[in-house]
Amino acid sequence: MSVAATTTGTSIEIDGLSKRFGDFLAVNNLTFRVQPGRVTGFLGPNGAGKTTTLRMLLGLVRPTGGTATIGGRAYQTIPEPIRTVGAALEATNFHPGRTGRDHLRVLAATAGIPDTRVDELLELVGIPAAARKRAGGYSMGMRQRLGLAVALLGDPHVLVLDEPANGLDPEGIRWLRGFMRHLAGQGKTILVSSHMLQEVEQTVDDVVIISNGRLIRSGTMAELHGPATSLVRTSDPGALAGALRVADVTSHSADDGGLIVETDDLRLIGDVALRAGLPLWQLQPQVSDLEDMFFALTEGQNRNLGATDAAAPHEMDAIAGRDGGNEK
Amino acid sequence: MIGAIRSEIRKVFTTRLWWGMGLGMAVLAALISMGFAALLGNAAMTGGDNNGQGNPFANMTVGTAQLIYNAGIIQQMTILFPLALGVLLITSEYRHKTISATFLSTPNRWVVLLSKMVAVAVTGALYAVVHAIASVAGGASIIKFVKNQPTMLGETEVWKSLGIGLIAFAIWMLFGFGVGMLIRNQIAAVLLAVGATFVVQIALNIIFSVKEWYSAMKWIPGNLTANMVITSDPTAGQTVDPATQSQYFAHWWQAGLVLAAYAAVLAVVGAWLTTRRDVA
Repeated sequence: MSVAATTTGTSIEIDGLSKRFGDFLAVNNLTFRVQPGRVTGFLGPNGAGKTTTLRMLLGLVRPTGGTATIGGRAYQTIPEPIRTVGAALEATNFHPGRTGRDHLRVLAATAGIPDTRVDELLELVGIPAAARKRAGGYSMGMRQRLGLAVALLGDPHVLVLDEPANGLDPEGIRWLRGFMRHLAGQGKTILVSSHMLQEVEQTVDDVVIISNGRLIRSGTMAELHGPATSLVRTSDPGALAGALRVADVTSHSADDGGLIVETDDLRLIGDVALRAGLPLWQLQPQVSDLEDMFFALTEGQNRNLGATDAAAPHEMDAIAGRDGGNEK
Repeated sequence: MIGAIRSEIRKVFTTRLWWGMGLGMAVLAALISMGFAALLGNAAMTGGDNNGQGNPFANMTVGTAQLIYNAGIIQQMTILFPLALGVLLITSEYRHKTISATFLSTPNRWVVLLSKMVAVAVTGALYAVVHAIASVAGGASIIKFVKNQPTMLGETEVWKSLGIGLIAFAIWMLFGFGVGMLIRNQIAAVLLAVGATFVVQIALNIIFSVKEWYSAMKWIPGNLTANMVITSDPTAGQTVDPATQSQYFAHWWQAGLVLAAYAAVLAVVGAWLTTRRDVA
């Protein structure tokens, strides 16, 4: 049995990880930790360096600097690694002339996993009949399901999923969400990448956001949602702001003449306004939308679009260099 | 390692490629052997027997039988099948991007490549057996029923030659495997391997014989292969031309070692690169 199977929960540690392709810095001194037993969303726009990071974690790409380990071990040093870490990298990675079932059997052989387990997984991901046909004719949804079956083959405690929702129809995405919740319920450590926040928003506990190969933010979903705020409209925003300051509540004016108050205690705001003799035209809680933040954090910084990034002038040469791998 | 080898062997036999190419090779092997057998005793077509070159088809000898039963190999035709299969077995992993899954299940790339070489050798040996059966069936039927000559199938040297063919097939597949590791683009690798075997070897043979560099000719892979499978002089000692004789090593295993060394160099360089390259 593998190391991870005897311990409860395996973490993933990315420490100072960098990758340079020629003069293009794909991943730049990236450090984060994936907590054991939690679902972590690995987010960033296309070409942010997500796939390169995951490939370094899995020993497919050699880092220029830093380390990426799973439970403290480099992937290459884990014996029968598919029993510890399951990975679904790209949904197109199948020989078109081999059946899905045979694709699984080929990989199962490396760890002595029996055909009964293969058939069990095909049932689980819902393609038992289709898997006996050659993979060349598979739809994107079937490929993603087969990819998940590959990842789960060795019943690993850690799952690394690269854009599993890519190319799925809404029904497929719903299925994927349910499936990931099911896996999370088993206490697996899951690292799932996506360039679309809403794909994973309802599923993940923690978020790591990168852009241009660098860490932007990481933390729990609650942390990244930030403090709660409320929007107030009144006849004299300045006077209300002053009254709120007396009540120890900070606020600042919004662009359109409204007031953003840093509390979600609507009753308190109403009481303060009443005491100040100000009419309330609008009073509503504002949940800071992580989606907005995601865009705000990454907007205008996507190097593949040719946008400039003043903070990292040394990366400028690389703009024309290399595209994100997702479209290949 | 056992798991990785089993995985690689499963890989070979779970697509249609192996039997499709095997079938094509068997048909071609039978036809070429039948063609060679048809030359028996045909002095008009193959030249006289007294110019010192020797006519291997003038009389049915053990060497003639070796020539007929390995005709596809000597003509550099059927040997292209194990060569191409060797190329395809590795390049299809890159073409269909299954190499990621392969390296994920077995992260030690040397173990992967060694397992692949074992699978390549097993498949090469299987191809050689099929090739021998097809060639002997095709060749012997013409010898026996059309030419009324002895098939020489009771001779140890004939069986030895067929056995050596098995080694030759494994080496040629390893050749292809090495080329495939060096040039991961499937189309380019197949074209280069087949093109080099076909065109470059013919060109070298012509250049060397025009320049009268006869002893250099024995180093050409195709000639080495013929050198391996023809262990008995088909002309029964009538070849006295020293130029012709210097085209071959004295023993089959010498030629085999040289050929294996070529394949090994390609495979080792290719493997070393494969273990270092990023898989994107």
